[in-house]
Amino acid sequence: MTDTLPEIIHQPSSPSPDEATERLLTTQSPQRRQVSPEFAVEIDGRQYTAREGQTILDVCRDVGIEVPTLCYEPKLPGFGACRMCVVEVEGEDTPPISCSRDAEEGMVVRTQTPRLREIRKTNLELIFSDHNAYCLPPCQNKCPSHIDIPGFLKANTEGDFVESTRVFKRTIPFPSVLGRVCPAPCEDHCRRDEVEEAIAIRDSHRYAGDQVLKAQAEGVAPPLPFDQQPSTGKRVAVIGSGPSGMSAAYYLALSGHEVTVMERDPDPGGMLRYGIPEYRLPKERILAAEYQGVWDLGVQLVTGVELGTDFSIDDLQNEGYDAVLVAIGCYDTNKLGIPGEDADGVIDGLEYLRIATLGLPYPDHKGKRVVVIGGGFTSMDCSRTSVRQGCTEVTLVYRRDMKDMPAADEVHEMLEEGARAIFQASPTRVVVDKHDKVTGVEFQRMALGEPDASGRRRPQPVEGTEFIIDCDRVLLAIGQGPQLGWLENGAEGIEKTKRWRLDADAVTFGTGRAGVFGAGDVRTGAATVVEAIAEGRRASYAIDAYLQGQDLEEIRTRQTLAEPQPEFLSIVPYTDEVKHPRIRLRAMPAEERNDSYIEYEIPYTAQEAMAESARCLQCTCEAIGYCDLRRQGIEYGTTLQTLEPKRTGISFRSVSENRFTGYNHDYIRDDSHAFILREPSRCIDCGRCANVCREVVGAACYDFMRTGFDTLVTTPLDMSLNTTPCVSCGRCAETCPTGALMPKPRVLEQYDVDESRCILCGICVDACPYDALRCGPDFELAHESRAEPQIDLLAIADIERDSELSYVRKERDWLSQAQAGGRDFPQERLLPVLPAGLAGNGKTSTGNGAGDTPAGGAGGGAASIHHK
Amino acid sequence: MRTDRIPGLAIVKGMLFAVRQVFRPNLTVRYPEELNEISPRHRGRLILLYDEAGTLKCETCFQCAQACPIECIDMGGVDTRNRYHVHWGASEQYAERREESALRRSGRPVPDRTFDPFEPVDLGPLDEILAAGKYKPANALAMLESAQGVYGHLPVAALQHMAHQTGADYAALYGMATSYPHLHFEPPVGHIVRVCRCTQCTLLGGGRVLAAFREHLGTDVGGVSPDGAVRLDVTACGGTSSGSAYVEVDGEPLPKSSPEDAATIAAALRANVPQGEAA
Amino acid sequence: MSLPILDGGKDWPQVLLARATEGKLPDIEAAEAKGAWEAFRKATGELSPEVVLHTIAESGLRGRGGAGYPTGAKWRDCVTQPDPVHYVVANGFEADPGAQVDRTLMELDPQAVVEGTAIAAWVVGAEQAIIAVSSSAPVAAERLRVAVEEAEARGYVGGDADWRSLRIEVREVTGSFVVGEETVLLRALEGQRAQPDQRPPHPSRSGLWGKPTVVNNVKTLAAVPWIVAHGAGAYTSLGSAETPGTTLVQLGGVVRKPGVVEVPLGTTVRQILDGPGGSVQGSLKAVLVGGPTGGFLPPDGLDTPLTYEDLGQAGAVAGSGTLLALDESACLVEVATLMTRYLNDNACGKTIPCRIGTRRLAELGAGFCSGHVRPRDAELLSELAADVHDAALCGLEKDAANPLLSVMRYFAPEFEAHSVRGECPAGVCQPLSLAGAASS
Repeated sequence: MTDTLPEIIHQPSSPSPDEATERLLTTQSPQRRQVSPEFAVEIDGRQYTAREGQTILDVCRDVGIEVPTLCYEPKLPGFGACRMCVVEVEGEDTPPISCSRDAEEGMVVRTQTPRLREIRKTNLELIFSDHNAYCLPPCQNKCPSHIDIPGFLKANTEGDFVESTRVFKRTIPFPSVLGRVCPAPCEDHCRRDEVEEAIAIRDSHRYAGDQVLKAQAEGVAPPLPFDQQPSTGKRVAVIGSGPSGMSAAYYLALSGHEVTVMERDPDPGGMLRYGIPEYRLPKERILAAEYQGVWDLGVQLVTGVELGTDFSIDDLQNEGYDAVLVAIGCYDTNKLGIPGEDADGVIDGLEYLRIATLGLPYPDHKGKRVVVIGGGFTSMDCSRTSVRQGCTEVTLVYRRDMKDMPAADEVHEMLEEGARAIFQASPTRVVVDKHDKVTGVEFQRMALGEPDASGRRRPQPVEGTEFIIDCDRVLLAIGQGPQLGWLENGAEGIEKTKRWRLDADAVTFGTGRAGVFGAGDVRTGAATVVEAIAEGRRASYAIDAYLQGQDLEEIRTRQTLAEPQPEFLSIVPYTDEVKHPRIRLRAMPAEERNDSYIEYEIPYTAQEAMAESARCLQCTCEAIGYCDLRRQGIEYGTTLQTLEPKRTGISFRSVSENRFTGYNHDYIRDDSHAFILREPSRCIDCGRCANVCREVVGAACYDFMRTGFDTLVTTPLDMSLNTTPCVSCGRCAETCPTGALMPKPRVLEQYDVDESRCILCGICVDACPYDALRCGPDFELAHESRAEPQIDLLAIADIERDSELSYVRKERDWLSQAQAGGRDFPQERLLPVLPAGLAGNGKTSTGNGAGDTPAGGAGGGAASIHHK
Repeated sequence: MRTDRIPGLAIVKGMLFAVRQVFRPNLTVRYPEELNEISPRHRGRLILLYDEAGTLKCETCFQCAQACPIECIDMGGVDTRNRYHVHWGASEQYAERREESALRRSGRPVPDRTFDPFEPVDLGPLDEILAAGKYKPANALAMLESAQGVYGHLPVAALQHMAHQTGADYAALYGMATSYPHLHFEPPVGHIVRVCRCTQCTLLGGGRVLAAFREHLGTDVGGVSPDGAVRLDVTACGGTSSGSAYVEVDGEPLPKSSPEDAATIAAALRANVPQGEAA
Repeated sequence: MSLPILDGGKDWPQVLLARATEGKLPDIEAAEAKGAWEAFRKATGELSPEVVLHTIAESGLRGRGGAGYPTGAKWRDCVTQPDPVHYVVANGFEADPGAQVDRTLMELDPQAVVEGTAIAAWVVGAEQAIIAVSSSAPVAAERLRVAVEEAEARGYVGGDADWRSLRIEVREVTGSFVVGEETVLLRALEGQRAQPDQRPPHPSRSGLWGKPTVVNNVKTLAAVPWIVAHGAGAYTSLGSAETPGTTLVQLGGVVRKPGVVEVPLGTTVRQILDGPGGSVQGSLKAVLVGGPTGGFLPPDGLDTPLTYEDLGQAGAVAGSGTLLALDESACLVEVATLMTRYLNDNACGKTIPCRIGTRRLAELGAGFCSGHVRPRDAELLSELAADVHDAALCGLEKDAANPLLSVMRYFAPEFEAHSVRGECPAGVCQPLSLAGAASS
């Protein structure tokens, strides 16, 4: 009774024929109320209209307010398992969940408050604490630029090196360069290491990049990661042509901006060219060739101009550059701060390398005894080039232990080549003769104390252990800082940090001055090439967003979304009897390479490269990209990071940033079904699959099993899905918010209907969940569809849809004409669907037409239309 | 000359018509050896629809083929990488293929219990129970309880039979059963240890006693020890425990309980298992 | 193994246990001699359902199950539902394994429970009522069945007359702790998985089989006949002003006289312990009020009156109505942790905060007991407890953190002894030294 009551109340007194008809025709389902009372609710301080029977979540979704939820299935009523959609309703102490709370008149709702975010964050962290799965492979986590390593290794395996390079260039434009100079942090975390040995990731993309360069030499353009966007007309000045600046220029040019690169030196490349020796990175064959790919995008290069002396930030902005990226790197070698430091014969390692790396002889360097101070890549290059320069005696002295050296993996090669190394000693003074020429350096032994922030043990001097190494030259390579003199004039608003770095944001890279950005070593201090390149790419995102006029603060989340976040607990252990050892690059014998500057590593053959890439376990989550849990996790900052193996005391990989760690489940993966993959370790027990499978599909394969902490939504007895009534429709995988259920997409190959046996029952048409099937055109439409070729099903569908409208309209017109002609016609001739106004002459108003409430009429109408 | 006056002409006409009929091709086909060809405008012809993008809407979910009462739909699909073909024909089971990359990652097999031989159970008493319950899913819980009373536990076959007979979803039935601690799925075991977890017993050290039983029986609450000898379960003392936590062994309350003698009790129980009851 | 009935002292009124006679099986003659079914006859004879409903609302009777929702409002909400079919469910399922308050009531005065159920059904116009009894109380179930048969024999219920056609069914329910929650109990009665539903809609709008259902604790229903017989005013004169009436309390632990006693609401915990409980042997350390989801009260907090509001402010709940006295030999951290773990094992596992959150709570507590403590664990515990409480679906989840929170709140020294110094004053748990914990 009360169901129909409001309708009668709210029914318009006499609906005009047209609106009545239109309402009838736009009725989705007969049960739905024609007129449901509307009222106003306030959500996040704004007024919206809600319909009776809508939940708060429905209203929010209608008006486009996003309330996070993991267990809400739009086809079904709210379930309330994830507790993510909590909202605050004024006047209630505990927040209700919006998916199962009806909106009420005058309700005041807030969907984003600190308290709510706290609750959601806690929920997410709790989920992650039992989410025994991973999003990204550890190698991709650990790569500063988050290269899609499984992606390009897969392409390598298939021998498609161009595709491999394209995948690589999505995050780093220079595969060949990185293939030579990258310290490869990814390989330290490769899961293949659990089997036998990590994959040679760096050498693999080095090979792929080299193939592309070979093709480039023969005139084949290198692949582009994305299509170059049409020109935006914006001009960007990139100061510095090092790895950071050039990767920024590359991606800025790809997004359609007009980029000009300013370079101080005669040739582009920065540290890549003047800091890394020829034998490690061939300048012309590799560096220039790969930079060519950037110039091909239309990037302009201006060499010989230095920031601060030749131009200032002001000048650039006055010249009309919409954005300026400062990526000038670090070129000031730190001072030792010991007596005799400026004596004759003490040389800045970078100054020396500028000449030595090119293979040119450094002035009377031959035959000298050289002491190199420092433990980084620069010191390594200094000593190894000194050997090649023909120094009689090369000694590298580092104040920490060998395993603490950033360039530890190069030491043995250096020793092979005849240099010697002394560890745990730091210089106290430079010994000079009366002409202030260096004759030696006095060192003091260092004892290793407690580990410091970087996890390396802090060296402390030991008294009375001084010793002197006689030498003619001292090369200083103890780290560098950026040159920031240009800040003095024409750079108002741009600041430097206490640690003498350019003050730029870590995510948006914005400096204190609008339109001026800073990235690379100048922001972070001297770091590896791959980190610099990652900085440049991320800075290009920020600059692009800035040029599109977006607020830099608002892009933070999108930046993080663009940057895959490292998160996983532990991984299903890989078990494989077959062991494939790593294929290593062979190197020339030391005596050959000592006096040569040619590349000393012998690259892979194609077979080797493919075989090495084939060892990849492809350990990445199939659901990445459409996983709601991951999206929410990133948005609420609850993504997890793995502990370094050396810092975790426990056997399984644990989480460092999750507040709630503890016992977690490790379920068995069910891959027995042909097209639905079940990974219960990724299940968050939202129950969506169970509800959809029961309510929508009707198969009821899943349900909540067991109780307490061990509750899991799974099949009875955790059986294979094959043994359930599964119809493999894929609805469960479609609704799964995570990767716990994954559909394997299918393409229809063949569809044969034995029409001689078909009984035209049409059950198949009703059974199709995707409305992809229907019987042939109806008789009424046959004359129209005859004109259509059989294949053009779209057109037929349109005719069909149109005809339903036109059918009623025709009927209505016919009626009105009949009434105008004063003709009387039998009641049953009336369509029951016709609204009251159309029934015409008075006596029918009590009859079929007007008596119907709109709902009833619509019910009959919908039925009668579909019936014919 | 008037032809209609010619006598016998009509007969000749008739004969000619008959002869013509004799040489007409036969319209009846010998199905199924021969098939009638169907007009392209045949109204009952099935049509696969395309979406706005012009791609087939069909997701190859086989629901139409499964629904067809005379199995006249024979369809097949392939995954996007064109490696694994699925096919639904009259007499074909479609879930036969495996996805390799998944197998590569995890070497552990999935228990496929339905293909294991179930313990044979006599469904006679179960049918009586179902009849008593009027075959209503609403009475499922009561039926399960009485079924456990008959069989001592809930055999898979009995659960499936009940689901089949009452029309309840097997998954829902099983999930419901797992949510009630007093319903067991393992065959009855020789001994059963019950520990009260009420606040008063906890206060009297019940937690430590329970932990000791957990450790020495090698199972958690509601489970059976690995050798299938002892079940660990909970009971309710109703706040009447005094001195030490309330523990029942095979229904007999212990005069006194402590973690120490929990170990000895567990060992003793696992030692002498009544014949034929240990798994 | 049932507990004795304690003498509540002269001035304490007897409503629920007025007719209770220990030991002898109550039959209907004895009960009627003492006034059983008078109220039902009076109500069905002289009064109208509206009047009775008004009386109940006037009397200020509130749910004795622990939530304390006004009974009159609950019934009215059910009556006003358009659906013609209504149900009444008497919740005699005592979830707390350590409590036998309801069981005692049902065993000693089943007539009152049945009569109250009948009156409730008559008021809300229910054709069918179910009295749910835990299967661990077979005696109570048996006596209730007898009482129902007797009432049918007398023609009070089960007849053919319009309002007497009520069918009362006594259903034995087995289940875990969460089944005590009203929506879960309804699911159990429907033979579904023991999982709570989101409220609203409350059972009074959509309960058993989706029909409007009144779910009341047996203590609540047993008070109804008395109220109808004596009038609302008589009831409001009992107990405290805002929460009138009496309830049943079970005394346990180190009290001299453990047992069940009927106390007027508003009595302080101390009065109950010292009066019927015959004070405490040894030195009292704390009193656990309300069973597994309850909270610990310190000795100086014993003057908290036994009302829903005061207990709530004190961090405890009326819960199962048990008062458990602890002496110095008990380690509160350990007890609270084990109780939390017990709740987690008995959770239905539907919602994230309950399934994982309470588990993490228990693990944090276990960390304190074993000495594996991270620096922030203490405040982490309170943060998590607050979030779990606010995101809770059912009562178990909402109150799961009460024990640990009350320990942190009232027994900070003992808590810090565990969390900071890694020692257990009670000498119960053997925490590692924190240095060892840090290195391990």
